[in-house]
Amino acid sequence: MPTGIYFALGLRGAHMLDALRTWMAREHTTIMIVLYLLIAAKLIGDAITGFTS
Amino acid sequence: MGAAIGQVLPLAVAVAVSPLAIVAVTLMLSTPRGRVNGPVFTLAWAVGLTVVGTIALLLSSGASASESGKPATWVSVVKLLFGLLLLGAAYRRFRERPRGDAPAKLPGWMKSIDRFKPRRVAALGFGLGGINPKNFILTLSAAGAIAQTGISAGDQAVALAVYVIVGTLGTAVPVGIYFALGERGVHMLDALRRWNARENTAIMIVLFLLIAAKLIGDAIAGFTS
Repeated sequence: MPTGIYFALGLRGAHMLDALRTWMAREHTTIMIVLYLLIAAKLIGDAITGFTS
Repeated sequence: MGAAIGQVLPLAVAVAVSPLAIVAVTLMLSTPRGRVNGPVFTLAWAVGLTVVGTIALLLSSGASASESGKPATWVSVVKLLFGLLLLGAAYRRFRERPRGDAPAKLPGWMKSIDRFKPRRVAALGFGLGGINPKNFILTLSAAGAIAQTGISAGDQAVALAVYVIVGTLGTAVPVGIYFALGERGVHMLDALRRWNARENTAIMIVLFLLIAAKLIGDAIAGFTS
């Protein structure tokens, strides 16, 4: 998607990409914590479903 | 029953990850009223989840949510709609995110939370737990997932109970720390509150995106099966 923004929007896209990069860099840890938590819950839930069915 | 529990587990964890509620309960616990207000808030949160979950379970069992084993069209339409709403909400949160060193914006009621009486705390817990849009959508999904497994009413109740208990961990753990650790817990609760307040926007954006992807994916699977 960033690649799409780059080609589709030109200069306006540059500002958006800049904002996205700043945010992603700052929130990297938080984003990964939430992702890991939910993926873990999904996998463990699937395992429970698998064991009992 | 295990199948239903497995299906609702990720939804319950998504309910437990509620930064605003964690900020609210840790703020309450830092006041003299915390001894009463903390448990009241957590209990009301669980009651809110239970009430909405029970109503949704009764409705989805009665409203023919599945036609010959596959989800009814209206279920897929609702899921698609909720998914798109959450995508929009994630985008709006990103637009209004705190920038630079600006402190995160918290709702106005948070400022006077230390003066709340237990009755108001209970209403807040019930509302945030059961009725706030994120939990509401998750609880509807959980009820739908439980109903679709076609298990007995008793087993459905157990699966819903597991969903409520896991979904309440986010607010119950701070209360547990408060009572179990006393003075030593104060620093932990403080750190927990500051992190959740600061990262509220980022946490919610990731949550909204993942739930939206799950709902839209379910809808696509439902439309094409």
